[in-house]
Amino acid sequence: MYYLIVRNLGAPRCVDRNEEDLYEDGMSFDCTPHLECDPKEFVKEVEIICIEHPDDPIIAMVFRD
Amino acid sequence: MRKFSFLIAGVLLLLTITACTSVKRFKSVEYKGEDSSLVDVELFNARISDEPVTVRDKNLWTLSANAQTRLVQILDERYPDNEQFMSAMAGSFGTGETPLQDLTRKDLRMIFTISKNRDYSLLNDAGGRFSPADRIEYLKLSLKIPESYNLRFHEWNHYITEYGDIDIADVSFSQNLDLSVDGSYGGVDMGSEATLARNEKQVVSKRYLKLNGSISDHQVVIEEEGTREVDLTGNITADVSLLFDGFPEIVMVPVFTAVEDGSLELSALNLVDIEVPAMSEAPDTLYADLSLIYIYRHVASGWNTFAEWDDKVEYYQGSISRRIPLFPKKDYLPRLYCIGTEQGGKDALKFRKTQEKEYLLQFRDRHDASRFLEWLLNPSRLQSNPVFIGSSKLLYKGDPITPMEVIQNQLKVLPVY
Repeated sequence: MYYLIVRNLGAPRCVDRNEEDLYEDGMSFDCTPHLECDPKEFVKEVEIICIEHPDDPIIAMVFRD
Repeated sequence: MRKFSFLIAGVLLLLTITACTSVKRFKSVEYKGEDSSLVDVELFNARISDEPVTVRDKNLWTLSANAQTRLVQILDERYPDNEQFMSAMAGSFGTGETPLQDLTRKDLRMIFTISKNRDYSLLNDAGGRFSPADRIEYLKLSLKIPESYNLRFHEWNHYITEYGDIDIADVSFSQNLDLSVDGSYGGVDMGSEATLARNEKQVVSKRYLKLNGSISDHQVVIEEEGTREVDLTGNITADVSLLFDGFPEIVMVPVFTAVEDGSLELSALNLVDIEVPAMSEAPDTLYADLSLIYIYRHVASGWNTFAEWDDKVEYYQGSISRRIPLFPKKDYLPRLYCIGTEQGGKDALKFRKTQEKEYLLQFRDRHDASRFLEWLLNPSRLQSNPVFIGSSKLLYKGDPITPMEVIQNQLKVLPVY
């Protein structure tokens, strides 16, 4: 399982998870959920867009279990 | 002929006195170079506050005419006793508190202290650079916020100096603080005509100040120029609004209704979108770069008179730059509360709305969180059944939680950040 994790004010949160690594730069996600995740291995960084702030891309991290 | 000589001499004397006292600014002037040890600046208080929440009482008089009529009928039926009826009519029934939905805007009050280095031991020393008549004639103060904080100045609110204050509702201002003689009985009363919307009475004499200020995204610049006899030593207070970049959050707003036995029953859990500051990390302190450029008017001789026209003036220019703490973490982190434990790492209750939508069960204040926990632990609830709110489940560590497990895990109200 792959997890998309964003970090704000020092607190990480898992906003999406998928069985495949489909995460790429420029993709949009809802950044409000706190999903239960089990991140173990860092995969990559991607620049995503929170749908609530389409003009401010942020850096997110992709992990896998 | 002799009369004419006296008259001409008298006129010349009068002209000389007048010219000396009201026209001349100094006897001689010289620029002596740079000296940054004459003045110091500190930001000694930076107080940050949230935007005020509008709270409006709801009572009989804030209702529409129809609602007033209906309420009076209801109260009349419910309270046949006249005293109780009057008491109920006079009461309020809840508040219309607006949920605080944007936590990215902060009001900041900055107090800059400008001080002179008063070295009285060199008072009569030819090489000394201090006299009692010295003054700071001009200063330019700037405060710069590093761009990495995602924080920017938004607007001025208020600006206060030793000599007066002005209200500002814009990104820049340029004002003269002019004080005019207002001849009142028994003395001289000075009235300020400087402010944008205020008119203050002050008991100072002949003080004139020129003020400029501007705000850009990452910098505040304040310029002050004191004219005759005005020393800029003292405090400057600047109220500004700041804006963080926003990051989306969802908070829970529980709605309770009282049931017949007096206990509270959760009738709804509303999800409200809010904005919190967007910063990947939360540094312990946010710093800013403070710099001051000043012109110091040193009176080398002639300082034994109050008037300035006989002063031998030496000007010095100086500058000071330093990084200063602007405000600590507790002042900018949003005050949100969750229900969880810090044993073995922080874990908190979550709210599963759909299979792929789980949210942290966080509240906008401690009161809401405490009332929700109290409701959760109500003894009338079946202690071994998972907690549902409508069709949504409460989760702890990914699994449904029962009231008994809330007690076993010693869950309590915690700040989210």
